[in-house]
This record gives sequence, C-alpha cells and structure tokens, in this order.
Amino acid sequence: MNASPGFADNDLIARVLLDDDRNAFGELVRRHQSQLRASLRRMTYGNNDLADDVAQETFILAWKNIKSFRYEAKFSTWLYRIAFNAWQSEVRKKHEVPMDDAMMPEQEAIECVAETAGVRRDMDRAMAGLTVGEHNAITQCYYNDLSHEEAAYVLGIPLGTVKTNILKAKEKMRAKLAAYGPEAGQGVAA
Amino acid sequence: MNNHLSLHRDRVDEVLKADALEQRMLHIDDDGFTLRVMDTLPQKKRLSAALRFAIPFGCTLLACIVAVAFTPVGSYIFDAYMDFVTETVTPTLIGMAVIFLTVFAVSIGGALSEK
Repeated sequence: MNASPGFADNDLIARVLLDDDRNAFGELVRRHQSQLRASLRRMTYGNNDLADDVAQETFILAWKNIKSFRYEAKFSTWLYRIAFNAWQSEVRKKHEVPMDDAMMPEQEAIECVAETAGVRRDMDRAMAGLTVGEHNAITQCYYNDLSHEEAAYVLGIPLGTVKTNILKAKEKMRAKLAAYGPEAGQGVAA
Repeated sequence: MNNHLSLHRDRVDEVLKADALEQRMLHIDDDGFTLRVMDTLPQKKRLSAALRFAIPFGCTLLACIVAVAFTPVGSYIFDAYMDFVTETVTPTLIGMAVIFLTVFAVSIGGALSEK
C-alpha cells in the first residue's frame, strides 16, 4: 500500500473520487484510525472490541458513500458522524446500551476504570453519572475537539440541545468532582 | 471547544480540557487495523470491458449516422465511405480514417484501462 503522507485529506479524497484510489483511502484510514477508535471506545464505555468493529464499519461506510462527502465539514467530522450513526445502529441491533436519557450503570462504569487512578478515575466516575445525551455531547465537544455546531452535526440534534447537554453535564460533573476530593473539586462550586 | 468561553474560572471546563488533551495525545497503534479495513472494502462496481468499449464506439457510430442523415457534414462521411469502397485514396478518406482509428483506439483504451 503506497502511503501518501504529504497529501492533505481533501487531496486524498479527490483521488478516491476520481480514480477509486484504494491506496489514498488506506492513507485516510491510517491517518484517522487512532482518533476514531479512541472516540468510539469512549462512546462504547470502554468496550474496545465493539468500538473497533464499529470503527471498521465506519470506514467501510465512508468508502461506499464518499461521493456524498461535500467538503462542508472536515473529513474527520464527517467520519465522526458516520461513526455515531453506525454505533447507534449497533445499539439498536443489540439493545445493549440505553438510547435516550437513561443513565449508564455506575457500577459497570467504575469497573471499566478500575485500573485507572487519580483524576482520571474521578473523571470517568463523573462521566459515568451523565445521561447518554450528555455523555455524547461532552465526548464530541471536548474529547473529539469539535465546536458545538460540529457536535450538533455529528449527533444529528439541534445546536441548543448540545449546549443544554453540555451545561447539564458540567453541572453534574462539578457536583461529583467536588464530592470526590478537594483537588478535583477545587473552585468548582463557585 | 472554542465555544466554551466563560467570564469566570470554570474548573470543570479546565479539567475536561486537560483530560481531553491528554487522551488525544494517546495514539492507538494501528496493529493491522488499516489492513483489515482495506481487506473488507467492497470493490467498486465497474462496467464490463465490452461495455466500456461499446459505449463510446457505439455513440460515435450513432453520431456518424445522424450526421449522414441530417447534416451537411454527412456528405464527407458518405464520400469517404465511397472512396473506401472504390479503393480510392483521397484526403477525405484519410481524414475520416484518422478519426475512425482515433475513436477506435480511445474505445479500446477505455475498455482495457484499470481505472
């Protein structure tokens, strides 16, 4: 597989569109796999195998539908949107994770992060108390580094809902982190 | 994250940003992931070689027929055909032969192309 590390994403996409260039698409996969898999691992609450399966499905869907990429969003943002939809489909198929505003079981979350320590553990425990919608909003805006508008596009929800979910999530996390310890909670009650 | 502006210090925001930055720095090794994806990519549908030849060549033939029937240019094609049948080499015949061979070569090239 020829790497094309010097090319921008849009150049590689153009090569895929014009020539069905599988090597160019391979370079896109190699370039974005880490971020996408990390994002999916977070969305699946640490289920790495499921996250990798969804990531693989995401790239296959991207290959099949790359003609619909309009350059209006960044390629990574477009991938996140496909990944989120693929994950939602997986959830509907398996009925494993609650879809709307149900809470993630706290015990399961704690087990997921049992090996982590300190602030990391506190963060994961605080995140575990969020609804799925709040968790998704935090994941997209902070961990995927998207703007609120991009997060709304990825999640397929109104911009206002994203902002509300972020505010609610931060309120809950503020309370949780304050309860876990003075270091994490310092200043959060202000 | 550019929207998280606040007039007062927001500790949760800071902790989230710091944690997110730390998480983004962690690179997940490829470990054959890209190869697995590439192995499972479906082949794009392509027209058969015969169709890839027949479509441009057929369209050109059709255009010639239309030209002969409905336009003044058709007389050149007809003249060239008559020259060919009577084995008379004329500039019209040579010109048409060049055009015909070019279209034929392009059609063959399209049919044999891997793209």
